[in-house]
Amino acid sequence: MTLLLPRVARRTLWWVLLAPALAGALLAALIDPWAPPVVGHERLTAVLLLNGQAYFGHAMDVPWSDTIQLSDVYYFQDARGTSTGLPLGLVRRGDELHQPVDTMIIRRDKVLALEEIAPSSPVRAAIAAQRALAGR
Amino acid sequence: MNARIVLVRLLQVAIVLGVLGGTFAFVRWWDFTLPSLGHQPYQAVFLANGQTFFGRYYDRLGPSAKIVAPYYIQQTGDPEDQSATVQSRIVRRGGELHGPQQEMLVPKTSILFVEDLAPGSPVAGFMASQQ
Repeated sequence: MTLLLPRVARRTLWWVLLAPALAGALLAALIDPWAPPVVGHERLTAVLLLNGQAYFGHAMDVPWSDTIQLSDVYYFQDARGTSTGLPLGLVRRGDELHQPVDTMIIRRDKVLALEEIAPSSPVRAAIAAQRALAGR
Repeated sequence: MNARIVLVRLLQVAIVLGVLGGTFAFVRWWDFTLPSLGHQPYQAVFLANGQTFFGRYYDRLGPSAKIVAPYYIQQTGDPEDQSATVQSRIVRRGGELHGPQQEMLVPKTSILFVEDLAPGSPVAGFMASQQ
């Protein structure tokens, strides 16, 4: 139908209606308005893997990619052998022997679930404490 | 530039901003979920690792489906020990150590199958009573 419109009307239709609508949809797919830097608390995501492991961090989940990027990553580690006396400890990824950088690229077909971490979560508090200790 | 052209330009800018904001708000609200006509309000979602979650399942455009207000069955006692009594209870997801919020995104590749819960299902009744 748009082909029947005059050229000026077609251009106006594109720039005034279709292009902003596409841009709005794309932005909505990529940006959470309730998370920083817009407003609200830091958005932390739990990525649960099929092998039972769980990683926590900032997830970049682009729908058209077959991988999920997780940065500033933390995970649980058995802490029974340490001086804390606690069964579990939260560890920042990066201090391992192979010293990975702070971004994990996870294959989507190995992910069991993605969950937002609540503001009152103990994991969030533990991450904040870790950062404070490390001066981050 | 005369006043009429300025007015038209301002109107165009207002429409662009309105369409941009309106589409943004609509897509955030819609969340790419597909309509689930004819389905029961609650579903069981069986995952590739053997876990099962109960809740409101929404198929979405894109690689992930969504489970809203998920519950799961928790067993207490040792299932291997024949003499011990194994008890099962339904638990609302959210009280775990990492404190997940009430929506769960599950890649479709990790889903084995989805079943509607019958209106008389005790699990569906329990979830409805918790709303």
